[in-house]
Amino acid sequence: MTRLLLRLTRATLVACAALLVFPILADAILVAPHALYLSDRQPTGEIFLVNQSDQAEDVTIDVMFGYPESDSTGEMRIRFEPDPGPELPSAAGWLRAFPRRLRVPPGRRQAVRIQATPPAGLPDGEYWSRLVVTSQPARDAALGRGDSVVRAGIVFELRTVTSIAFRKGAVTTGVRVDSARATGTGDSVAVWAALTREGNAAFIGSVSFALVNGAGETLQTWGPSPMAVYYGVNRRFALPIEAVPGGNYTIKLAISTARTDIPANVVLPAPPIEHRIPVTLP
Amino acid sequence: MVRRMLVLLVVAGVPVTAQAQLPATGSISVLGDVTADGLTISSATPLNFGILIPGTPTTLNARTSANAGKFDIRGARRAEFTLTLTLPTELRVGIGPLNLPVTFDGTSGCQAPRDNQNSCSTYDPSTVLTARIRNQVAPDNTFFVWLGGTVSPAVGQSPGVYTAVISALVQYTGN
Amino acid sequence: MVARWCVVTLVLVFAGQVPELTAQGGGRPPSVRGSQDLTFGLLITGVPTTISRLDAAAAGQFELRGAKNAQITVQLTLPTVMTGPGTVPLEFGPNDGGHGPTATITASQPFDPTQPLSVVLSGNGKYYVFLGATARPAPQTPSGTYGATVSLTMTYVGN
Repeated sequence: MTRLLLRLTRATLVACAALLVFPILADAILVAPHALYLSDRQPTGEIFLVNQSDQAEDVTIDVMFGYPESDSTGEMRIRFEPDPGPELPSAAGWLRAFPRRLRVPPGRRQAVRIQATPPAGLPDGEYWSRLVVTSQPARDAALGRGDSVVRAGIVFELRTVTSIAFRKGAVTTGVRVDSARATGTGDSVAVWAALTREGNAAFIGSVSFALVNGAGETLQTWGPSPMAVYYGVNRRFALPIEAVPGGNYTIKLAISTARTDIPANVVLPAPPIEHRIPVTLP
Repeated sequence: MVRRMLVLLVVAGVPVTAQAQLPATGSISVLGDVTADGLTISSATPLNFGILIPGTPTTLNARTSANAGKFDIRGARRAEFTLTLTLPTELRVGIGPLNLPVTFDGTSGCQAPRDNQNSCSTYDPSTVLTARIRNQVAPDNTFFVWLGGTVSPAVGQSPGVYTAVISALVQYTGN
Repeated sequence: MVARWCVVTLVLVFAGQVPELTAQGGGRPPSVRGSQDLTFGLLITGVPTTISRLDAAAAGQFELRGAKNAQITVQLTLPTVMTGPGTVPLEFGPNDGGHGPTATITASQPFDPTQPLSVVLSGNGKYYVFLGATARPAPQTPSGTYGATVSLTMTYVGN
């Protein structure tokens, strides 16, 4: 009994792990645009940071080479290469952000200038990088003044990653469907599509699907959804289906350069693609 | 001669007065480029284990606990994104030697396109989460993630406030 | 004789107008030049953006020229929206206008740009007006380039 009392006493003396004496309120930095395009004719651009929280945020900007790729499960990941070799089209070594460290007051927005200084003799093409924006609540704003109470909490370090591409000279893009297959289950269709980029710039566009019956009637559609192909990808798309009877159908896969989230003047043109994939639903 | 001088004087007087009264106008443009594609991750709720009993592990359920950590992700409609959490293995009191183990398992993460914790789907937060923003305009262009975990204080755990840093990284896959 | 007196009278009247002519710049016509557009840059839907009248790079700027020390009124015609693929509402607050006798924006005094402004041109016949504003793109605003026009009218009111 005495030991139990001692343990309980100690417990009451143990402050909460991660006990918040002060609230951390909606730590949030909005980063826009999420895709920035520079060129040899326009080597500078701006990223805007908007502090949507009610406290100041300390922000750090880093540049790193990376690009999206698919993994073995068909999901997309961003592959980062901290030290890319010369065979990779990395712009990270000659992109600079100004300022790199800043404090954004609550409710305010701050511009970060991005400047490209490519090496002389850079071949024509597109060069890639990722911008990593790391934010944390400003320490002094979080603790307050004249506070003699012991304060503690979990600090969340939030990172938003956007893309930067630098285009030099003539750049072209396109995508081809190397293979595609579809498998139907009770409530969804899984589509596997192997796609390869053409040209010397990443393919930025959208993908959409349609379920078509034997009479040519479209029963269900999905998308368009943003999509990017930097090299080759083998993607898996999970398409939920609703109240479709079993039988033989066709999945129409359509890929185009249409994007609503990226300015049209930076999206490279490419011919649209339509690919038909047979599928049997149980 | 006199007549000529009179004409000159009259003529000379009129334009000056009329010119001084004429208003002048100029204009400028107001310009802006609208984009709908800002990406943001915010931490709306911290991960709070509360008061601990030494020797007794405490678990927060990502789906049911009000003290679970919570992230909001907002972005372009239908955009696919990945969320990567760098999870700590211990909490510490400042930079001193006191530490407290923390673990996360296959159900410590929970995710949903709507702000409904009870209906979220659990996942392993040590893996990369791939999901899609809802096909809605702001403020409904959102995705939600909750985070639980387990801390295991030792029988002789020292009093103190134990803290850690959780890093959350979000990015689109479509560009 | 009568004719000579007429000439003398007219000369005196004309001479009496000389100080006024001098005040009107000795013949300098009034002019307004829009020297810098009001530029919001990137606007994010659902996020209000304010450009301060003190923002040397983004605030709108007018340069006024006319008779030295002339008293003038300034009237701005302000748009309520920017137009493009959609519309973006604009707001001009009571301190969004700035004015002063030099081009130094930080030395300007605030004024309500929705109201007429009465000032006196500087000793070299110049004056400057600066303009800030707030844009409020709604969440569903279509992406694209938006624009509007602000006009400034300068009128002499005499000495």
